[in-house]
Amino acid sequence: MKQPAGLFRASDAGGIQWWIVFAAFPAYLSAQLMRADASWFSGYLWLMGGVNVALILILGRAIDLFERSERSKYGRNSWLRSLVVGMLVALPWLIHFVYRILQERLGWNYPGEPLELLAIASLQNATLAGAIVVRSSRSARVIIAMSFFLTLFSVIIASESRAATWVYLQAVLYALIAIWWLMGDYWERLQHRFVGQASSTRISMRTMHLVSVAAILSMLALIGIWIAPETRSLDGFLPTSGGERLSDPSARSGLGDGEMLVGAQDEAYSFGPVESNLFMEDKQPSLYDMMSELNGEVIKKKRTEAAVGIDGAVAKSNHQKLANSEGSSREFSILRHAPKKKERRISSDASQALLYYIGPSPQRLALETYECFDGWTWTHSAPGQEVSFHDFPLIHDPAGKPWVMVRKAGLRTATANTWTAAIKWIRLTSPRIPTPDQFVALHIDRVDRPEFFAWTEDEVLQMTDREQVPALTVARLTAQQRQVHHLRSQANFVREARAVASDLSVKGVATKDQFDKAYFEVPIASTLIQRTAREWTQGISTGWEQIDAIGYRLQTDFQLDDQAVVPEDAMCAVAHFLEKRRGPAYMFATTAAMLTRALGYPTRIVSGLYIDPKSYDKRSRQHIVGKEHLHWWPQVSIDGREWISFEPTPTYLAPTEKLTWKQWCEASLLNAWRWIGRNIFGLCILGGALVVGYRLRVWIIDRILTCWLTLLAIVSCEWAARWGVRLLDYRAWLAGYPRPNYRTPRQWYSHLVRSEKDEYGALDMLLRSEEQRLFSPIKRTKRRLDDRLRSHTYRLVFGRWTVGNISRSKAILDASQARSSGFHEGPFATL
Amino acid sequence: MSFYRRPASHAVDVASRAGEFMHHDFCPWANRYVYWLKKPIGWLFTAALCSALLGAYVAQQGFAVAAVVLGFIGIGMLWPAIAMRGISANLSWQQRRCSEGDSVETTLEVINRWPWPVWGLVVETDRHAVNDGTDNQESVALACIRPMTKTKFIWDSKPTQRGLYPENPAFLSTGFPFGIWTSRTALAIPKSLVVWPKALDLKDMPQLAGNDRSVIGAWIDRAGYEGDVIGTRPYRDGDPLRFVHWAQSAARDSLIVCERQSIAKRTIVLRIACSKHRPTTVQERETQEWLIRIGASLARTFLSHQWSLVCEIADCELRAEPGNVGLEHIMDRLAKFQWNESHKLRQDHRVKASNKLEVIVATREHWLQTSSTSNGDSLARWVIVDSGRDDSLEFERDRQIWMQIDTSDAVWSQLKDEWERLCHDSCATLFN
Repeated sequence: MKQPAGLFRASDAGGIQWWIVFAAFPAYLSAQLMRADASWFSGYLWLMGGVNVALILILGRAIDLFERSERSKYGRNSWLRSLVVGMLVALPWLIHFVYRILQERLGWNYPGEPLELLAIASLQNATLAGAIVVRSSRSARVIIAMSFFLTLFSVIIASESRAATWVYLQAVLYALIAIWWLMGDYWERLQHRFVGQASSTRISMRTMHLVSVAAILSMLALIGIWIAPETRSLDGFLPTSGGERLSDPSARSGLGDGEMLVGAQDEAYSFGPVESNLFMEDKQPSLYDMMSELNGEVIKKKRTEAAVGIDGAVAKSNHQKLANSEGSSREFSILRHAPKKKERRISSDASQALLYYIGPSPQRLALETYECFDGWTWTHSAPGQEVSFHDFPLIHDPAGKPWVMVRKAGLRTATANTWTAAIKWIRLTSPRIPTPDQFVALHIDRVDRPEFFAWTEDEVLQMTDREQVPALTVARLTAQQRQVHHLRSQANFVREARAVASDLSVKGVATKDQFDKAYFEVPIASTLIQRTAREWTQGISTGWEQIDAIGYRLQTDFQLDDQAVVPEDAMCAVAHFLEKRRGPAYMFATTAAMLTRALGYPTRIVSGLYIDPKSYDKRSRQHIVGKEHLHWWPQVSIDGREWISFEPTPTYLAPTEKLTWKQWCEASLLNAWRWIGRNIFGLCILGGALVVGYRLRVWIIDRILTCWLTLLAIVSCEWAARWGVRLLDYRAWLAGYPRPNYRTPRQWYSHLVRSEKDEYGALDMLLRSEEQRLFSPIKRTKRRLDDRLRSHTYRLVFGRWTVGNISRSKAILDASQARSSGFHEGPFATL
Repeated sequence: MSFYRRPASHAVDVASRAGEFMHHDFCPWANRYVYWLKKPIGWLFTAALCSALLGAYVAQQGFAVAAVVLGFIGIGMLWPAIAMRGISANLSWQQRRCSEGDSVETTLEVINRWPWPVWGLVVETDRHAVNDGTDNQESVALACIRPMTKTKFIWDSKPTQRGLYPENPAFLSTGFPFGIWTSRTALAIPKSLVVWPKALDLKDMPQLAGNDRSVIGAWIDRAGYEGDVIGTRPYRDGDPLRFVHWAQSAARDSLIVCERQSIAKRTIVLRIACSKHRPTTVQERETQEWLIRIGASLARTFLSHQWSLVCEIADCELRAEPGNVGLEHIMDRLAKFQWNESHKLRQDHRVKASNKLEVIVATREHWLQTSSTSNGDSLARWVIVDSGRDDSLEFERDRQIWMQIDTSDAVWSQLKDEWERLCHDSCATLFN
């Protein structure tokens, strides 16, 4: 059974299949390009190619004319077509041998073509000639396949040639045409067999589209409002899209801002963390000044201490040791005056910035760490500090930039994934370099001497022999991704931390007692703190989950209040904070540290800069970090050397964590489970309401539509009639008799209430009004009919045309159909 | 023109021989292994393989081409596969039974659960069950199923072949967008369609009297159209003119007809001598189908004239009483008849044809075989159906051959003419 010829589908009765010719021609041309590029006489080859095409077209046309005149006698001349194709296949070889003979006889210096190109020339001619003379669907496919191989050979051979680009373009053109032909061929195969259709929508597409678009837009809006661009950037997707793994000098946005963003060679205060040769002098506040301004001045507490009398020699020895210890540390007291209330200043944030930051947020950059706590004051006097300050290795990245590798040896390798950020010093006057957790490497342009850097005694990187890092210095920092998921339900790291203490005591660097005092000691109210810690972590297995639980509890049950300082006469600052449930950030950090220490986790607190996503400046595409971003948070050691931050302070976002898909699913499920557990009562009410709503959905929707119709009837009776028909359709649909769209309402509902003249009249009037609206060119003007129409609509809507009545009529109809095989048109034949 | 004719004829011969040579299947056993090469997907996989080989051994651009081709294959296979995962459909006919060539309203309900449309679907089922009877329609195609809808397709199909449809599992398939791979899902058909063989409505009955009376039952004196004349009465509308008693009519100056006896019960054996084996050629198949159609026409005629019918087809025996139930029984069986089915007809239930009037619908070959072996005393009446007409059989007409139908000509008009002639002849015989 043959199909008629179409645009794409060849047939005996059809003419030239132009789409097949269109597909074959780029293949032919690509081969010609490749041959011409490989030849010494490219002009000649182009000439021959043109002659070939002309010959093929003329022969194809001639065959058509011949067949048209002879068809009645001989039918199709497949022999003639085969002959033409065969001649054209042999033509390149024939010409080649003729030239060879002429070369030998007459001394022509035409070098000819190699055999593989002659073979391709034959394939060229066969393809184009076949495309011209093809008359069957199967042959058309063969031609398309031949074109593919011709294109493939051309692409392969032309890869090294000058014409490669043009050959590739022809290949792409061929691919597009071939795909189009395939689609057209498939469609033409079907189009003679299509049958009509009538659709009934299962879910209203218009509604679904609207809901989908609204949901997507809402989600995008929420993301745009609540989440900073850095945190939603695709990780390393494109160098210019904010990927952190890749950077590009030409990057224009996101985390991977390139050096070419702003050329800050001339303007030192311009945006962008670029290396600048300009340095400016300024009187800038020290870090200590800023902390005092932010948190208030320290109160010198009058202490009354119990003392035991000892002899002078022992006292002198002990005092000496204590003095040495204190001399090497700085301190931070949690007993402070309330800070002065902030005044609103007109000056811009940028002018008050300590530094600029480009990188993922939220983030915490440590400036000082404190280990020892005596109940009122934090000091940093880390025992067993392995002093190896000046032996940082230096490496150069592929761009030749020097990187100082500052990661300490022996640290646990949590993950190989790293992230990079850049900071630019503006008003921060400290030799200390703000560094994130699991800090790995540092790059400052042209600083290729590792001895410039050293660890402070509290394990913060600093520039040696400098009072401060020069303003406008740009540093790039690389750190490992935070990965604590695998620690959530394991207690190994606690044992490891203990083991490090033992190891240090064996080495004689620090005693176990010193280590315990530094990282595990809960100096006062230990009973209350331990009880609180156990209560908050009840039912949670040992591991990072307990730390998360403490942080979560502090964040949710306590309030951040900078003015709620601990009074001078308080017996215990932590106990006071736990009682009042409000306080400044350092109290949150201190309390969290005490609670985790009470559970056995080695903990310290850190002061530094919190990179708030809200501090992101869209114009300059960087975070502007000021003194208001000074922050305190606790850190837990996972192996005695490496410290991981967690966040107990409300309004401060928890550190982002890099999770695998599996970990993300686990964490999400766990969080969802806990959320359900916390909101079980509300969820039960909501679920019940949804179930009831689902069961009563028909009634509810029907009531809503009825009310809507009533309102419309007050405004306009025509609208009421229109919506009356829609309501009728809707109710019929609910009753299981949806009106197909190829039936008019009158056809479908004409059998309604034949016996009851009044209702039939009401229906008739309603339908007439609707038909008049739809089909009549004359606008309805008879106002006096409005009242009747309105009353008829009410009668139908509130009368027997309810879903229940229609359902009952459906049942009766089904029964009557079962009794007789007569055909019923419409659902209301028995109503 | 003569210039072209000679070389053309020679060339045609050469070309046709070359074509035969090129299309000859030298190793049919290998077809099962290389059949995939005849499909577009086979070509594409071959193209991808060649590209990859060229990429490995010649230039790395081959890998890029292979990747593009494989990507194309992936889209071409995944698209229809995913599309059909969300499609379900059921096919139904408005009526349960119809005859060959009758128009039946066919309904196909397709549910698309995807939120995107599905294009280019084809109903893969028996062609005779769903096509509209035109030559250029192989099967039914659906242009588009809108997203999240239940779409109803309604069309009139004209089954051209008797049978119980669907004979094979039915599917809904699509190869969209490229047609390189077809994915399909089963089509639910809750009720099958029985297509009866086309039967001609023969208006009258031949007068079966005389020798046949002993085998067709006893006459009773109830007014009818058979047996002896039991009286006369005035003409009523609908009375056959051949029953007009012209002498009485002339005497009374109004039409008077003869009132005749009727028969208490009549039984006839109708044998449709189909081949026991499936026909191998188209012509043979067509002849066999005509045997069934003519047999169905006779069965219908006999049943409509209140004859009890015993129908034998191949080795299968059916009994039917007059009325719609009997007619449906016979026609359903004829519709479902297949040549290679095994019949479990018990020999002791076989009708003793020697006691009954027997009509045999058979081919000429079958008649020749049977007549050569029988003793010639059978009451069988033969209806010879074959392509071509054998005039040598004419002399047998008076004895055994009722009708001779040439399937290569207008069969229905032949049957009608032959039947009317038969009725006329039997009536003439009766009155003579």
